Amino acid sequence: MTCAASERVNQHLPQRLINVFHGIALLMVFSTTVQAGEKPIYGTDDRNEILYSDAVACRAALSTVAILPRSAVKKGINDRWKLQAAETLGDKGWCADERFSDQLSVVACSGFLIANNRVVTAAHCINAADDPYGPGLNCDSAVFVFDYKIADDGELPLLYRSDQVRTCEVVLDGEEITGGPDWRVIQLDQPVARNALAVLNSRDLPAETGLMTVVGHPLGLPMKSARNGTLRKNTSEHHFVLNIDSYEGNSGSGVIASVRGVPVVVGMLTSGSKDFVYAEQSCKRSKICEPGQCRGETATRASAFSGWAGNAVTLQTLVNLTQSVPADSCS
Amino acid sequence: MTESFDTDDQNLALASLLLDNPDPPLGDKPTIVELWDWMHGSLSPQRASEVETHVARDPDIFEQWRQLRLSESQVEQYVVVADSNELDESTTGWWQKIRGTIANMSMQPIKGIAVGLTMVMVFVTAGLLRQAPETGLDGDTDFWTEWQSPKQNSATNPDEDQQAHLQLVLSGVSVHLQTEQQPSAGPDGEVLPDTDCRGTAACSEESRLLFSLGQRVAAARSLCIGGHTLATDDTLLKTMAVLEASQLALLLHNPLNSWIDATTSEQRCAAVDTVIGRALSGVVK
Repeated sequence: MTCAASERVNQHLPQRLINVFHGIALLMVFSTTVQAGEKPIYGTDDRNEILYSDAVACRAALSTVAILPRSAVKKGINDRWKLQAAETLGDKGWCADERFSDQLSVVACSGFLIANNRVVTAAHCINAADDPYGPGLNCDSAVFVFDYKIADDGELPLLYRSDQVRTCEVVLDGEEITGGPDWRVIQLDQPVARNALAVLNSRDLPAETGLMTVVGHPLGLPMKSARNGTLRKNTSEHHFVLNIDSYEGNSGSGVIASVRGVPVVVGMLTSGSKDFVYAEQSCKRSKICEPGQCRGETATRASAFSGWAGNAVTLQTLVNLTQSVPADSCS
Repeated sequence: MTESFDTDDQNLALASLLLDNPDPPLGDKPTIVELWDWMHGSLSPQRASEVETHVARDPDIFEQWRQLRLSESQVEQYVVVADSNELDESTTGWWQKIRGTIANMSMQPIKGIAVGLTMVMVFVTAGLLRQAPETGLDGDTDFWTEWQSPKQNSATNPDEDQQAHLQLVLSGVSVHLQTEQQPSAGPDGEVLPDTDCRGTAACSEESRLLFSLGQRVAAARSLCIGGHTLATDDTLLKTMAVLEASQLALLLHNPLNSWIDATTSEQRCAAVDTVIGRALSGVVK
């Protein structure tokens, strides 16, 4: 189903009403404070279900993977993998009226395909072989699940086919430096029948880099896209900083520029500002950054890992790109 | 240290363990820091003889001591790196003489290691005196300037014990921030743990060590963002040996080793930030 077609699927009415209410409330609060060029990261919540995302995000979603602890899924009969988790975002202390608070929050990190048997993610998500006590999952305790997203019926599937689930064969390469390069390339146990995303192998961003999109698993939720990312700082050779709505769990998400409708990975989200504040009721709320107060979100440049990509592209390739992709469809 | 040196030493202690000696060990059970000091001849003669009975008669203590020894195998490697990268010629020559002396002592295991490693500690203490000042920030620089927090979800949070270790490290960071007239808070204003137990009798030496590590790592970051050169911190060797032997703050081992192994100030600063970044996962959210 295309994204355009999927938009015809109705959301559940209560959730839709809540979304509308939030949209209006946020507009009322920030319409007088938002300044052009310095949009608060969470000022207007640009997260969206893949179901309702644009074509670029929809294409990226096909190559996006949820990285879960092995304990969160169990292989059952007929080679189906069943989700074992039951903890929602609300169970983790987020306010009940926060968006997606009733959805499961189990994903540790995000990642994406850069070849049919290789995934890239942040280094702090998957430990190096010589760092078994690191902050991430060890290779043998991680599971990679594709299509971990709200389906057309508005529900999160709890069963996944064997072609949607992979495990980690070996950690191939990576660097983990806080504030510097932060990436890890994983070889999957088997290839997948999916196309890898195009990965930019230049430290320079394409001239046409406009608003960027991140696709991943904020707060461990089923896949979301976040649009309207703007470049904020582009001085480091290792990374760039952008304003975009991202949360814990987005580490390893592809930062995607649309070059004439073609999604190109220009970076990978690794770190950023704290996501939440405590509300009066001691529950967590999304942090709303006032203009100038937030540090932005950091993305390791795609050139750090493009050497492992099966579909690495140069800036020149992008310049010569003439085939436009329809903006309203991901088919 | 050579392999035969280690083997001789361990066999000796193992033989002691196998003795059917009904006498209980003397004095209080040594902490791992005391074990380190015993190995390096830093305890009083009376306490040293007590600790020796624990090593010989208590399998747990023996195992701790063995782990310390394993961890310490990095000492010589590290000093050799320092020889080639950091020290002037006269110091290098002096160290070569010490190495020769240690090698000659290898036929007298216990005495050899105690004296030899004491010399190593004399050497590293001399290195400490050459270290940069403990404060590096001017009044206008924010300690957390341009800090970025990793964006992984809490599925991989450390267990309670390890979290407690990280909180001790963060307490040290917090106290150091106060000495720099900085807000005693994390990068996003979060409250840092206050588990400084140094003034209490119940404070274990391991706790003091973790706290001290927090202070040192914060001081190091101050120097880095203040634009100073970050020199080697030879006290990290003792810290690492104890952390590894006691399985303390496991999350920090890899970046701490990177810090020890680093040959440039930039590499050290990067490792320091990674240590702090990992320690921050000990903040209760």
